[in-house]
Amino acid sequence: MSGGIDRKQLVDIAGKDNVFDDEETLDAYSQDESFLPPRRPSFVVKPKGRDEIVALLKIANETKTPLVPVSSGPPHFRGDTVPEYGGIVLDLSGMSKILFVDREDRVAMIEPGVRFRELQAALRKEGMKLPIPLCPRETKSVVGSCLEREPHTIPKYHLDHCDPLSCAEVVFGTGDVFCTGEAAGPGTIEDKQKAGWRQKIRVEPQTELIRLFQGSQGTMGIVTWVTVRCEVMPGTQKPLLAAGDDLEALLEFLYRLVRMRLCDEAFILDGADMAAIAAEDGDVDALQDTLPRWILFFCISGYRILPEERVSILEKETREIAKLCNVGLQDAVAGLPAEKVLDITGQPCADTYWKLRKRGACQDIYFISSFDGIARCVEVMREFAGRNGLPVRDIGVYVQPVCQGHGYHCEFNIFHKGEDHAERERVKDAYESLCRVLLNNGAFFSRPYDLLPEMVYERDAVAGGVLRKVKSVFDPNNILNPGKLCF
Amino acid sequence: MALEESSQAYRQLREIVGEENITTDPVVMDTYVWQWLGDLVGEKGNCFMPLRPEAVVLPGSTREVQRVVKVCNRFGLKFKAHSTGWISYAAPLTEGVVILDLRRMDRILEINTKDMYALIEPYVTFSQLQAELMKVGLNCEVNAAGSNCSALAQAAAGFGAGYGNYHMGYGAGTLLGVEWVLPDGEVLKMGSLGSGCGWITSDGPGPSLKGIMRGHMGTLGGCGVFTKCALRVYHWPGPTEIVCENEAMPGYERFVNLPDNIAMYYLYFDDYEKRSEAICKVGEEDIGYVMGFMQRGLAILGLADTNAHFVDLKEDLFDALPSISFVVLLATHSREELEHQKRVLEKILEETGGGYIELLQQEPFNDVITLHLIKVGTLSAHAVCGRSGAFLCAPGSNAVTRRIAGRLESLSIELKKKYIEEGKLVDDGGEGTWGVVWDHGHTIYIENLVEWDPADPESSMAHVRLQEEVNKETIEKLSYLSSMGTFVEESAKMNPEDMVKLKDMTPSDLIEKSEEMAAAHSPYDAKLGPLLRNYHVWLRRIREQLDPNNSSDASPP
Repeated sequence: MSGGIDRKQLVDIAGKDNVFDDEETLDAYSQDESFLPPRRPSFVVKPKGRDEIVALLKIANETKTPLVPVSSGPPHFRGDTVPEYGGIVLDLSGMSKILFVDREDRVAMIEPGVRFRELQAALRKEGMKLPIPLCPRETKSVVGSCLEREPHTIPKYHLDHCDPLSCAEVVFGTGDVFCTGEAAGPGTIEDKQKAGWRQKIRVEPQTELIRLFQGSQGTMGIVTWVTVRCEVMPGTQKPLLAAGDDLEALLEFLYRLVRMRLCDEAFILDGADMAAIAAEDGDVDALQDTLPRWILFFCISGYRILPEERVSILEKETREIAKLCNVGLQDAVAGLPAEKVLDITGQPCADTYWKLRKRGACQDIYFISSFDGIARCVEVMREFAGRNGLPVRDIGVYVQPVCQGHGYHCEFNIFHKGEDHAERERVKDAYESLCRVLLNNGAFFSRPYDLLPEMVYERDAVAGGVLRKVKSVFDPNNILNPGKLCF
Repeated sequence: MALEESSQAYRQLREIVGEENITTDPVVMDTYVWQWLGDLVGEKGNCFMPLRPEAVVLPGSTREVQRVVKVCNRFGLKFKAHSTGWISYAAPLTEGVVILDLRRMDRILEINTKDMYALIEPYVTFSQLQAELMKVGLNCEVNAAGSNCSALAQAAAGFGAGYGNYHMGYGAGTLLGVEWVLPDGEVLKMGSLGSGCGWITSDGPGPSLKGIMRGHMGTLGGCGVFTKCALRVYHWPGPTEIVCENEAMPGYERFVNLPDNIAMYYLYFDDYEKRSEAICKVGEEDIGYVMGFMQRGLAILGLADTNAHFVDLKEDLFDALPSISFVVLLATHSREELEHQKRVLEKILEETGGGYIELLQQEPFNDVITLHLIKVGTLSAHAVCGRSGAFLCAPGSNAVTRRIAGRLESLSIELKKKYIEEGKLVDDGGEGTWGVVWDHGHTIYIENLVEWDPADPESSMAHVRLQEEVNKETIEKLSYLSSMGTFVEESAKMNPEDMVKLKDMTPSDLIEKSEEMAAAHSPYDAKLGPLLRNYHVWLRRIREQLDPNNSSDASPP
């Protein structure tokens, strides 16, 4: 039993092969790599489609039973799928169809279980690609990533924090089914597709409801499909690297590259993160020893028409700007070719996820920063680490321009030994304290997970209050992932 | 009824904004009542909306706005924010409304070159902002409604599209942090601002409240007041000051001394499909700075200085110009890059069977159109308001996919022609479509502009009948719903008394009423909402949470 729900009711909806209550399965869904305490769900259910989800929401509402949706496979890192109040975990990974890929309108429709590798393979056949986050883990759901507002690595195609998400079908906490944006109507999805629509327009007349489901950690509704904007595959690419000890010089160069729209992919990694990504199954520490402190990677692309000519002209312009910024451009840094960086950062991690390679566990701190805030936050982090016994060498840094250079995603990856209890506790204490210090230094925690929501909504109580009012509309019984965010 | 000067509410409002910033003078208040599209809603034959406000106040700060809103809540008054105006929503839509005219809040507070945003107050216009931005090598998306419009209103509360949407995104997408006085007087600092982390994003923490703040359209002054916002701005490779003159064509500015890294190309195509294909290819090749299209009938309306001039110009130009076209402005970092982009464009034209419209490549058209693409200026206002004083799009107000664009355009052209032949609408040859391209050619935004005489009820109603026909056809054949067209169509069927009844109902009333009641009191919702999975019901539930006293003079739905 969970609340008032018994196994038979769940089996009637999802079938006996898709309802789990054995200890091993429940334990697997009870915790993740985050610092949230484990809590076992009563059941794990793997629905096969929207109608089953609607039926599950109906009985969950009747019995006030928590439902926690999850679409990616393990390992999870953010605590968002840990069922803090027990209940039922809805594992959507079995809903994994690519519903269509459309070259003409550059869009694909997918279910929650679709992962990056299979979607990229389907898109490649049509001469397209999906701009993806930096080297995601193999098991990461594309839908999950979009709903988490995970930034991707091509700032010029990142027009909005919503991107590349377009429309979605959502089952609200009330059990009502809604299609967002243009998909709302008139007519069914089939009618609209027949007329020539491809569910690309994100807005309704006076709302843009998809934004409520992004960043909500499954607390507002359960998404059953989304459409994602795709881009054409370049005909020619010229990846380049710049490196050195002077972060501010590299940031200035990055800012100009993005502002002038000279490149596609563009980001900065420190040696620790670059080593963790590039070492693959090799020795991360050994590679880190050879790498410079900061590495800027960018790629100039030409497309179908005169691609080499475009790359040649943009490269020339880029080199002039690099000169102005006192930054040297290289095809390889410490033996690491730019071509390899392009290759490995643009696809999922094939083997061990890169964040686990260095010490076996990783705690991420990520936030949105202004341009001036990046160097300041890096300095704050380093000072804090020094004072609190965290080895700075084991903290990776990733700086990603977002929304065409209107803001920066900054990520600190604290690599640690997860199985060492004392170290884990030390990292946990440091994590909370460091986040508070960063918040006081302008770091905006736009996506507060695990231990952070209290701190974040304490700072912005008005937003928390308004969100609770909105939540009461879409999930009045608070059955969707209770305990997360400010709910 | 105007507020009595002796009333407690009036005295409190006067105390907040000062004696010189409050009025109940009927002559002044009527200037807020006369609105574009008023002929469709109120008494036919003029543009006066049916209701006069209780008072008009001119707050000078967020604090004053907040205090005014709280007074309205306390005394059972409603309120409506107003910046540069435009459209019937700007007038009171119910009894007992205090208008907050935000014209005193007109400062550009910050231009941040590193994070590329401008922090502005509500009465900052596009032209004011753009001129300051260009001085530091930046630019902003300008709503094609006109560079005299409020930049904040478009992004936060209104709607509209502009040529810059091509790589700057839709206007609403340019919105970063927002300061929003909610209907109950609470101040929401949306996004990073609420955490004390500056103006860099409107999304978060957690779900983005931007999702309830606006959709394709904003709240149109009907859900609190937006008092400050940061807008994304973009690199501008052109000169720091645009030198203009208006000697070449009467009444028109033209770009003088066009630099050699900027060039305008006006292109024609044999059919809509080829044009859509070319637009998408331009986007996929990532060339071009701004892009859009203006069909020949509309272009001639815009280029004409007077009605007589329009007649002459139409005779000279209409047949000389192709019907299906689009225009792209290349603006690059170097002459070499410009030449490259031009070669790519030529290849696209070769693949799609398109060509250059030579006449428009020449002076004075070239310089006038180039300036229009960059600044918008007065050309679009000339086009839609200059001949008759009233216009709307039928259809319009939504972006569409490449497959839909041409079919939507040709369908509406055919429907419009018969009303022109009856002499009820301005004769643009039926060819008044205008559009822009969003997000690197991912989607195309189309309006088919219709101009009529608001002083002639028959002309107004011809436009309404056209809206009805277009709505019916586009819904049936293209699964396309023009929310603006629906509003106009349904508003015109309502008499002012019904409108007042509707606006007096609380959101709960409307949700709970039977379908018949809803249809009687809110034909707009009854028609539009069910076609969009009853999205309006969810919006009302949200609004009820935000506005428990029903204090905002909410615009439909």
